[in-house]
This record gives sequence, structure tokens and C-alpha cells, in this order.
Amino acid sequence: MPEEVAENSIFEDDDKGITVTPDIKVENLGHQMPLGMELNDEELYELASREKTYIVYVMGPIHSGKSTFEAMMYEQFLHSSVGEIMFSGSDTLLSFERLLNSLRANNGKSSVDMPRTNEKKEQAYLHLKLYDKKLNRKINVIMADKSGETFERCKSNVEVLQNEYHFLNVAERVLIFVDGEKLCDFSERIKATQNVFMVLNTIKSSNQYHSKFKVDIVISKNDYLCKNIDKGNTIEFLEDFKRRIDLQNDFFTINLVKVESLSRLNLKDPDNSISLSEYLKSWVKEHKSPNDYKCLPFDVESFRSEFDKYISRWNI
Amino acid sequence: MNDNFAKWYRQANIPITDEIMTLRQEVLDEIIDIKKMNQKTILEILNIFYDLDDTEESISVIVEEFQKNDSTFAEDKIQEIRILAGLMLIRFIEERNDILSLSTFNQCYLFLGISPAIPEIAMYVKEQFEQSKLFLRENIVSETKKNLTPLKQDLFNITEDSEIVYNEDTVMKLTEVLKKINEICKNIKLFQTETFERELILQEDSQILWWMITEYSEAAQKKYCDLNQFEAPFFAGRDLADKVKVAPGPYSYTGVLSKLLSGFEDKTYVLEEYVDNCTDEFIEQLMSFECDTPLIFALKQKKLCGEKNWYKIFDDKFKGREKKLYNSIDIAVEMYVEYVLAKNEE
Repeated sequence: MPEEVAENSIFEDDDKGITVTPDIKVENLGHQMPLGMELNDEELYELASREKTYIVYVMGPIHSGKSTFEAMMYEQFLHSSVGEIMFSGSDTLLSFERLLNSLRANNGKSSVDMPRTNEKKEQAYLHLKLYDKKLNRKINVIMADKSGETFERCKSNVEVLQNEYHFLNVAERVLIFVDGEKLCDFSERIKATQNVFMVLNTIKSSNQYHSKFKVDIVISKNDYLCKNIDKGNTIEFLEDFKRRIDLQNDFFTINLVKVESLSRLNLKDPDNSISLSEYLKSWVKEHKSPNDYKCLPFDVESFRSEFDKYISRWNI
Repeated sequence: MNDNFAKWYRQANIPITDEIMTLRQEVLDEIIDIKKMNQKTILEILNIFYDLDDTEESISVIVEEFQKNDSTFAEDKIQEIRILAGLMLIRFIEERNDILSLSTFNQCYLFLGISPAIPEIAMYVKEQFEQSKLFLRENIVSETKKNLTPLKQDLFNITEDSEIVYNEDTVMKLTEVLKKINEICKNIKLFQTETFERELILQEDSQILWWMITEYSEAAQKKYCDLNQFEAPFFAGRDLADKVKVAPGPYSYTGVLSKLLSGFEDKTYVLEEYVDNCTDEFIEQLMSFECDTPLIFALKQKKLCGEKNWYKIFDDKFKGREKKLYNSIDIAVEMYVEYVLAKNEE
């Protein structure tokens, strides 16, 4: 062994008992690069704990258009920005592309076979990161997707609903889909609308409910609805449906929404429908300035101090 | 606290499991000692809540505390850290009496339109502050009830020409008398302090009411109607703050300032316009205290750097503010609030 090595050598018999512990600190183990597939609960928490998120639950029976809606939410950004809202990335690009592939493959057909959302798997979340140019802020829109079969099991069972939709109370908004095609069918329409009221009652009875719950009842397949609106008293039925929805205003902030094409230019019923881009903008634009929040005023008549009574009676 | 914990996480749209909530709550309940926190620390926590700059060090300290029972907690969980900062603010308000500094800065950041992590928490802090101002006067008219337990009637039974034997029993009785005298002295002292404070508040009311009648600014040595619309709100706020003897001052301060500035048109301007229209002599006349609150800071920087040159420094310090329009009452109210704090800290 060369002398200089021998002098500083660690390969001496006396060193056999020495252990070396490197001073390594590992940080931020929770944050990993996204794989492009749907987020699970843990990944959603990791994202929400880092950045502001806007969670939207998408519920509805089988073939009501939930997956198409989610795919189109992403697809619209492949054409252009949505007004001042630009696409700023997604941690679930692969999932969106998979959904879109089915739409592209079925392009031109009268009906589309979207891949069925897997019933068995745990909660899956789709992610869109958007940038609002006007407000100069980014926002993460999360769409929580569950299968139609799960909806059928949950709509009248509180325990199953609490189990399957366990972050419903955190959602900024809940979308309940109603198949527009079924609204035109005399034999199907009542069940289609009853689903809505059943699930609303179940939510009210669950531990997920709170007084600020926002619900949008989204009517899908409006192209079919517009074509057949004059048949079978559909208009009257829809009006009655709207009246019954309005009765739920005591418990939810509830709206009936008819979402049609991507942009306003192609709307068949511009008076009663909105485009997908307008709908998305309405989510993102819900930005309250801190000054929109006001302190509740005290009751002047309950004051004992005459000084405070005298001054407070001047209306500010 | 448990229900509120989940509620605030829900408001922030953070889907938290029961397990994580328990871990976080344990730290807040057992590790972080709000009672021992100093004002500087709580203001840094407020800055985290409002996502202002220069908070890296404070964030590291918070992360270290939470890592004690959750090693996966990290500095990149900034949204959650802001929520936890908000929860600490609520704890502070609930457990401490010295909330003037915290509440004033909270009000200042709301004035600038800086978004808090959870607006409801910011409003809660503001409401508690308003309540403390209201109770300052409301409690004056209430009776002071003291729980003084009387001494036993037959503690000492002394008759003329009797002899007292100083034994253990006598010593014990004397000790009891001494304790009672101490208790009475403490109550007298407390009563005196409360009476003094009440007198100050009544004097304050009287001064404010007379000042409102004269509509004269002592700081400017002019009537408010003779000041221009940019100067008047600053002087009005400062003058009212000068009259406050017991911080945080009267609950109806907005009403007082509104009455004094009622002669001015309800025109609105941006903050920069108000500050740029203040001359250096005016700023010199106005400012006698130093503080890092927005208006006082802006005036100071304007004097140091000149018109328009202070914008960058101001925007860097108060990141994320909205470019809003203010009327004269908004400026007067903000000036008053900042001045009361500056006076109190002097």
C-alpha cells in the first residue's frame, strides 16, 4: 500500500468498530412529481395544503354526461383560453387525454361511448390549474368523479353517501347531473328528476351537510332537449321541476343550469342555457374581496352608554 | 375548538382526514403556548395568515413545531400553514387581553384589501376588536361587584381588662385578620384603578363631544372645513386619536369622524393620491410617532423618497393589496386606528 494512503488509511484494523453516519436531511417527502393519473385522497390533500383549490363534486346516474363534461372542461383549453382564463397545467393530463380519446374516436357518431368510470376504485380527482389574467391569480379546479353506480347506491343511503363522498363538505360546489334525453322521455323523466331530490335529502341528513352548500343541477344533452322540447309537455315539466328546485333554497344555494356548447356562439337556446366557457368563468370569478365581508352591527338600542347611542344613531 | 377546527379547514377547501386533524390539534393544544407568545411573534403569524413577505423564518419555526408529531409536515404546505396561523390568531384572541396590536394590523391589512387565508377569521378578529371597544363604555355603567367574604363575627372576643394570651390560636386569628386586610387592600387598589379608568373614559367622551361641536383641528390649527379634502381626513383621524385616553378608544369612532368630515363631497381617490397630496410640512406636522402601519409608513416614505417614488417600497412591503378607491372617512378611520396603536406603543 502506498505510504500516503497507509498514513491516512481507513483500512486499518483499529477502525473496524467505527460506523459512519452521514449527515443527510431528507425534506418534502410528501411532494412528488405527478404521474398524470387521477389524484387520490392523499394527493388531493397534498395539493390543497400547498395551493388554493376549488373542489367540485360531479354526481349523477350512469350516462348522464359527467365524464363528457369533465373531458370538455379540459378540451376547451386546447382550442384557446377562456376569456381571461388560461390553462396553466394539470397533474392529471393522462386521465383527461384518455377521456378525450373516446370523444375523438366517436367523433361524428350519433352517440358517444365514453369509458365507464370504475366503480370499485377509491375516490378519483381530476385537476385543472387555471390562471386568471385579470385578477393575476392561479386557481386549482378539482373535479371529484364517481361512477354512476356509486351514485345509485348513495342517493338514498346516508351511510354509503358519507363513506363514498367523504369530502363533500369541503366542496365549493356540487353538480348533480340530469340526463336531458331522459327529460324528454315520458317514462323516464320522473325518475330522472326524483334522483335529484333523493340525493339532496340524503345530503341534508348526512354529516357532510352545512348551510353554505352550493348545488348546481346540470341538465346535460341539451342538443337533444332543444330538438324535442315541444313534445310531451316537456316545457311544463321543466317549469315544474324548476319550481321544486327553488323550494330547496332554504337548505342549499341551488341553481338549475343548462350547459350547452363550448362557446356562446353555438347555443341553441341562448335565453335559458349557458356555454361551458361561461359556466367555468362563473366558478373562477367567485372571488370575494375581503371588504365584501362585513361585521354584523351591534343593536344600538341595547347600548347602555349614551355616548355610543348618540353617535351610532348617525347612519354610516 | 374541535368543531371550529374542521370548519376552518372546510372554509379553506382543504380535505383533511380525522387523523391529520388530530395531529394538528394536538400541537395547537399541547405544544404551542399562546399565553407566552410575544407581540412580535403574533404579528409575524398574522403576516403568514395574510401571505406577506419576510415570513420564511416564522414559517420554519411553525413547521418545526408541527413536525414534532407529524414528520411529513413541510414548508411547502403553505396553504395549510396559513390556516394554522389563522387558528393561532383565534386562540390568541380567546386567551389574551392584549389584542390591540394584532387587531390594528388586521384592520390595516383589510383596509389595503389584502386577502387573508380565511376571510371569516379576519372578520372574527375585527368583530372581537369592535366588541372590546364597545364594552369599554358599556361596562362603565355596570355595578362593580366584589366578592369579599366577611370576617367571622366572633373572631376575637375581647372584654375590658381581660388578658390576651398570645398562643397559637391567637396567632392564627391574627393571620386571618391580616389576610382579610390584604384582600380589602387589593380590592381598594382594583377599585381605584377601575375608577380612574372610568374617569378617563368619561373625560374622553366629554372632550370628543366638545371637539365635535367646535369642528376645529388642533394639529392643523384650522377648522376642518378650511382644510382641503386630502388633508382633512388625516388630521381628523389624528385629532381623534390624540383625544383617546384609554386604548382602543370609542366604539363609535367611525360615526365621530363621519360627522366631522360630512362637509366634504363623497369623492373617492386611490391611496397614492391622498399621500402624494400631503406636503412635507404637512407630514411633519402630522406625524409624531413611528409605526409600520400602512398610512404612517406611506407618509414616511413619501417624505423620504418624494412623490411617486415611494410606490415600489410600499407595494413590496404590503404585497397583494388591491388598488382600491377610498373616501375621506376611510382614510380618517385608518389614520385614527394607526395613530392609536402608535401612541400606545410609544
